[in-house]
Amino acid sequence: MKNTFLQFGFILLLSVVVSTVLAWVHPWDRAELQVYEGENALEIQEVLSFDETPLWVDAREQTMYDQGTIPGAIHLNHDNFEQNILFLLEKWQPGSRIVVFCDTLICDKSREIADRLEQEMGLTDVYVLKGGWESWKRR
Amino acid sequence: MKYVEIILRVLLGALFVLAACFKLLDLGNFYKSITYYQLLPLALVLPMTYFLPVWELTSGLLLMLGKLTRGALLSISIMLLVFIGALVAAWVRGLDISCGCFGSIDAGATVIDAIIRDIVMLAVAIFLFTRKL
Repeated sequence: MKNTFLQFGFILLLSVVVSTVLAWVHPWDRAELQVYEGENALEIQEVLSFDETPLWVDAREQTMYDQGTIPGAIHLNHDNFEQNILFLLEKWQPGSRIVVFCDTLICDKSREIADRLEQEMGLTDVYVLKGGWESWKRR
Repeated sequence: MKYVEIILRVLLGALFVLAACFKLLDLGNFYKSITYYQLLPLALVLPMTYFLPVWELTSGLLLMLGKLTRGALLSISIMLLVFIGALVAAWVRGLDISCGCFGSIDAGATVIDAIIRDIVMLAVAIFLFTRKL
């Protein structure tokens, strides 16, 4: 058993050394996430400076939505897209801006729903909220 | 029985090598996956982005090659326990995340799928650990 722990310790140490070297040789930082966020990702302050309140779309799970959301936000995710898109279209008017958000610092769901709104529904002026629900709470 | 053990050992090691490669080839995506779990302080997410795939790669390679086998199995078992714990925590909190276990290729797998997969791998690891490898 002692031998097992020695081997484990060696593997752990080796991994720490290799990953440190990797981080040094191939540095990568959070700034790269800007690429993932894309051009139509907006900071909360940018959205709040809109002349008219945008149509908020909450792309999170039902449980998170039930716990609290942005006032007036329409719950729209992959599970309920076909049903709840109707609620969004009822409120939508030409020129309306749509801002999709999900959980936290970075989140694929808002991006995916924003893409669906543009590609499947042909909507324009669709944005993604950087930082999602967390940034709304900290605004 | 010996052949079954060898096949399981190589297969388990290969899965970890594969998972590590997918993560290392797309560190940005893996960084995001760790962030989604909301379990680590942001300051630790970046070091973990580098460390975890390398730990998987080292353990998987050693297991495949049959070197330091028991240490590699212990590593893999601990990793799987941590993964299962993180997945269960995400599931309980209702977080809408993909596993991130195999980079972006398993984006369609649900948290439950990933928990079941990890439990099966943990069972294999424990089985191999109990054998005289």
